[in-house]
Amino acid sequence: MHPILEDEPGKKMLALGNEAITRAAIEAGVTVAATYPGTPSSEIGNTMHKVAKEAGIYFEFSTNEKVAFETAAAAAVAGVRAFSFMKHVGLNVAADAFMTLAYTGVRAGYVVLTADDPSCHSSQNEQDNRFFAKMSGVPMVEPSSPEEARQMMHYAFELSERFQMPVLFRTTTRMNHVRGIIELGKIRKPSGRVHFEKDPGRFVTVPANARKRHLSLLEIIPRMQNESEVSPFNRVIVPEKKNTIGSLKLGIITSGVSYNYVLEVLNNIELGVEARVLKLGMTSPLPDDMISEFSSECDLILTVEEGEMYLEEYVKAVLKERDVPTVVLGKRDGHFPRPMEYNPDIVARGIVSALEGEGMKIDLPVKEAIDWETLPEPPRPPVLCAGCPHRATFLAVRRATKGKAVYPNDIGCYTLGIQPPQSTGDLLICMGSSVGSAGGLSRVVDEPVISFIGDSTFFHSGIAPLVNAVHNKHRFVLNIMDNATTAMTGHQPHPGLPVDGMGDEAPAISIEKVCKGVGVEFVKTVNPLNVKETQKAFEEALAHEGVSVVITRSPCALKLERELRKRNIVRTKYQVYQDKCTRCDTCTRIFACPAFYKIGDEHYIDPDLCWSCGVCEQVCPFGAMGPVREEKGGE
Amino acid sequence: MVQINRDACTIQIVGVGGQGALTVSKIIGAAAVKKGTPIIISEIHGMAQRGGVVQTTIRLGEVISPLPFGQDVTVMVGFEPLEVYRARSQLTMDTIVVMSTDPVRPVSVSSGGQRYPEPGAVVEEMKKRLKCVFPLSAKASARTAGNERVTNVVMLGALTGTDVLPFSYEEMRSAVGKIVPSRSLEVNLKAFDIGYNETHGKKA
Ligand SMILES: Cc1ncc(C[n+]2csc(CCOP(=O)(O)OP(=O)(O)O)c2C)c(N)n1
Ligand code: SF4
Ligand code: SF4
Repeated sequence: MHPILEDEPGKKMLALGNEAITRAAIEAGVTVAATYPGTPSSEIGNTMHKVAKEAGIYFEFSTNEKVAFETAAAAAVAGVRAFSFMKHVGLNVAADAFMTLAYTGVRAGYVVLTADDPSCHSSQNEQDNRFFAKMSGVPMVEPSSPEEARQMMHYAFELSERFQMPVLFRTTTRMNHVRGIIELGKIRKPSGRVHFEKDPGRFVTVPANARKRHLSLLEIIPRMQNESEVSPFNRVIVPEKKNTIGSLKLGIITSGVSYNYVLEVLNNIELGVEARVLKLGMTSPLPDDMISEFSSECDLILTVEEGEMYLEEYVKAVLKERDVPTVVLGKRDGHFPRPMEYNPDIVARGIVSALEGEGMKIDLPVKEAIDWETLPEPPRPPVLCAGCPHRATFLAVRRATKGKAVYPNDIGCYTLGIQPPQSTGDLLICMGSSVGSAGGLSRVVDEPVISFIGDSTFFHSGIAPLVNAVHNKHRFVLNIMDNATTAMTGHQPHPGLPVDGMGDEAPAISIEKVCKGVGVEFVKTVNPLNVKETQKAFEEALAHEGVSVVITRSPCALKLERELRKRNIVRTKYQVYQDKCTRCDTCTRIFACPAFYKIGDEHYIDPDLCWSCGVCEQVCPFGAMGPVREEKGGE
Repeated sequence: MVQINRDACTIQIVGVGGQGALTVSKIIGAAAVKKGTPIIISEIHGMAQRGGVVQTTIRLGEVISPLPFGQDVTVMVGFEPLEVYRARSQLTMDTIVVMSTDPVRPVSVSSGGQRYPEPGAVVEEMKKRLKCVFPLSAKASARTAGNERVTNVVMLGALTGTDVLPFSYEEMRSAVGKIVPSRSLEVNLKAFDIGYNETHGKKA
């Protein structure tokens, strides 16, 4: 049995935030769960994928977030507990359905998790999804730690059923990717099949019904606000040791991970104030009474929150409305930053800056500066793995186009093609944008357009714009990079593979057939590890009038290597034959496999890093790279 | 003045993706759960690809923040010398540094024409500025243990040998057994012991 399924209430366990959330969903008797992978929420799906069958849950990796959202929403409308989860930008994809489900509501508990990513650790933006709650009227909770997340999931399902509303469960990277101790709760069994009670007046949002449902939503919001006033997750906390006496009464209003940093600061630095913290766990609707009572007892209020001024603007408005004179400071006055993640130091500087603005003088403890000597500090950005088929594809494309083309790229490992020497990324907005934007570019630019999209991204959001391109007679080459996985987010399956979220056999959707089916006339599949053949396919595709598709198919090298390692298979590594190497640097200049390294001007291949793709042998113009010659083999 | 949260031991692991820092934090986590020591681990691992910088912060003791104030690191475990140097702003003179001297050259060096700092120079810099620095070749030790891939457990052994963790040699060894698969336990324990002996009872 997977440890996350252990039915031992009270047992303590070290769990990643995402595992705590998965466990809580299982404890809460979730019957249907669906997602499209996206960091920092991916481990929830990975864990579900492993345990769903044993737990009796129906789980799927949906084609995209909108489908995941709707799959789970329908289950909750029908009357079983459901859970969908996605990264923050995934909620943009699902937003159409999300906004209107707020009108119909649900009959059984439905929790929708959004994992925001301040600092863009692995994202294309830092958007603050708390505003989705405000915009839709959907209630929202925000945990600060794995154990709180576990408890809040139960609370969220309870709220959802009490108010017949979906609940937004908002996390950030430092919540999803923090490991802490959780205490296991009781597991409730998932439901069986239910009878669908028809109620089209509620669930079919034709205008007449939608107008009525909007009124019901507006009536539920004040009731949810009453709950927020008494929610066990909205509470005042007084720090344990320091900052309990002082002449100025400081109130800090905070939520989520920022709460942790506030406490770390208050417990470590003597600020000479009497500080109290209003920790908000239910952050939509916000508790007006609680906020104004707390604030009226303080001389100064600080709002500490990553992202936008969600709390700050609200608190200011409430205090104004209620004639509470306490000053509120946050980001608007520049004490706290809007971009990037926080940490205790940023929070400390913000608090001190605000207090100094009020005429206080505080010496922040500073570290004795160490005077380091300057040594070389070469950057280490993530790179395509050694042996990655994407690197070989980019080489072939650059050869076919002689570098003279515009390259819209998309989101996946292949995004790393933006780096030199591949330099095959000129435009990237969001998932699927490579195909839509290629159409627009092809109408206006004076060079050929070659777009890159991964297999998982193609199914997510590449098909509709391909239909568009064929119908509107655009002319560009679409390269679908099929590495048989969703690599970037941790190798989840997708509709092109013969396996589904439950781990069962499933029909694999053929990319070729999809392309031909929507009317693409030129569709060619090649193995990118054969550079010449691939280059030729791109040359032919470029000559084709209209939309052409080249599918480069070769498994993700990292996934393949892990599988081979499990089976104890070591393939022949590659080496540089020093007698043949002319030190021309072609290999590093145009290919730059991470296994290459130099000592002086001599080239070598690190056998620990080489994953035997054999492409360097095709790159070297002097035949100086090839399989290791010694009898012993690579390692 | 340096402010140190006396309640917490903060371990900062720095290295390169694919070096096995996650396994090390899981082993320390298993020891903490067994003993009932509060623990919070924060890891930033964005992408599946190898080769990027990886930072893990482990806090043991009564704290709730996954990141410390004042970037106060009790001990830094460096899986790679350049990454130790890059993380130098997190070090105080009292931070203990346990570091591997085996470079993993980034592509910016191997194919981008940038210079890599001499590992020896990084060690020397650390020794000049800090009170307690333990350099070791984790790769050589792992090889001695029987598998080049267990450098992470060599480093864990070396960390344990410094006695900063609130766990004994035996407690850590049994935690290794909880996390690593049984077929590779022997190699891992051997690696752990080699690392342990590199630092235990030694002056930095
Ligand atoms: C709307 C949205 N959902 C999810 C993600 C996270 N994400 C980034 S790339 C990617 C898919 C990568 O798979 P694929 O296109 O097959 O490329 P590969 O990484 O395998 O090369 C995902 C799910 C995102 N950036 N945006
Ligand atoms: S994980 Fe796979 S697809 Fe991604 S860079 Fe590595 S080999 Fe390429
Ligand atoms: S060294 Fe050559 S064979 Fe090995 S991974 Fe790199 S390109 Fe492929």
